[in-house]
Amino acid sequence: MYPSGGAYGGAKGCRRGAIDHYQRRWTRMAIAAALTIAVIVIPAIPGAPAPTALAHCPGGGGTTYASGGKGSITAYGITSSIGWTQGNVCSSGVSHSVTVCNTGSCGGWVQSGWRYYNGYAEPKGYCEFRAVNGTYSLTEYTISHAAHTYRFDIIPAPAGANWACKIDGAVKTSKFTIEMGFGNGTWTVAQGEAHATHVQIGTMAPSKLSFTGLNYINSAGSLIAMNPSVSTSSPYGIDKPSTTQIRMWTNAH
Amino acid sequence: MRTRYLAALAVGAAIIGVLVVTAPWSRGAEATNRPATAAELEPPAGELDRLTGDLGLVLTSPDAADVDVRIAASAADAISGTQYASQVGDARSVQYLVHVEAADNAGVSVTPDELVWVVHYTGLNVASGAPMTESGRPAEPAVITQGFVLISADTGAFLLAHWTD
Repeated sequence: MYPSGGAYGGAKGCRRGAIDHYQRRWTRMAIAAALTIAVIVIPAIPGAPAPTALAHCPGGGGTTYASGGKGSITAYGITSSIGWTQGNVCSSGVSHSVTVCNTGSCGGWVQSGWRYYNGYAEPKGYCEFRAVNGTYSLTEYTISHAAHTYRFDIIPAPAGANWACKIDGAVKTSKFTIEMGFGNGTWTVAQGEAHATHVQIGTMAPSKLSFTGLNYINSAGSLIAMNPSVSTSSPYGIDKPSTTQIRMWTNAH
Repeated sequence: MRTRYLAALAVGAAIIGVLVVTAPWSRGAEATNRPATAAELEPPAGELDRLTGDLGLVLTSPDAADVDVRIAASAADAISGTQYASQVGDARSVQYLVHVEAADNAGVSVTPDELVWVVHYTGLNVASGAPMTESGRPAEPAVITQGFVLISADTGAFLLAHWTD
């Protein structure tokens, strides 16, 4: 309803009143639009700091795991699709990965997965190599926001077999088995690894982050259901819905 | 009425101010256009061969006359330092420009003919991650002593990072 007569009085006053009304309305709309832009657009700017996470960070060092391992096998590789989350890592970091160790004590290993550290714009895929002689390297790659398939396996090559690390089917990095000091392993493990107490592993309960299609690779190159034994400690949880799937989460703290 | 206009103007100006301040986040860093210096074109001896071997990339030093980079070495260093603050701390870094001749590994986030800053950290003392062993204890971690972070010299985008003992 538009104002008319009364205090505005007469045609001129009425016109001025209508103009004032429109001006007030446009002013309010402009302010509302500006505030909307401030509230919605600014947090969406790529690279802008994320809102402070809710979980607390009591600190403390030490590495904590939620893991599912399988031993007494001869593995020439391992593969899994791993879910994705951008959780609270406090001032530290977390990784979710699959590994082949040369033996149960892991003197040498190959590992692939994603990791997310304080300061990262988003989680990164990685390939990690620890040779039996102690030589170590880790390479991180940009990957999109989605569940990704991580796979390490032995590829026979004319110049010698190598451990090939694949993310979403593409070879990212590889090393010759002669460099690594082993060409198969007797222990495989899928794990979430928090590098400080209360860094989030998986998703926050009751949600659960899944490792699916969890298989090791035998000498014939066939995928064998890993059927791991799972374990973890507070404040983390893990379960195994099937022989090729584990799920992990962080309990409220 | 004038007061309302002024108020609206002030809100608008404040928003523009915030956007200007946050704009560098969206780009990663301030962009510049200037030739790389001679020092920025001289990687430490043997490093290009090492990276080529480790990463499946063929890297060469570009000709000084041809190089006009949009992202400065200091900006690349800042981008890397922001991402890896919790890992590199106050570690020293040097930056050098490389030309990617070829990317042997199809999966790497680097394309041939690209100009890339290598931000090289040394003197690190960071424990790596480690797998859980069969006995239920973590394996012995490695110690990371140096890192190479590759940043696009054109866009400032993070390309990859390589950490070694």
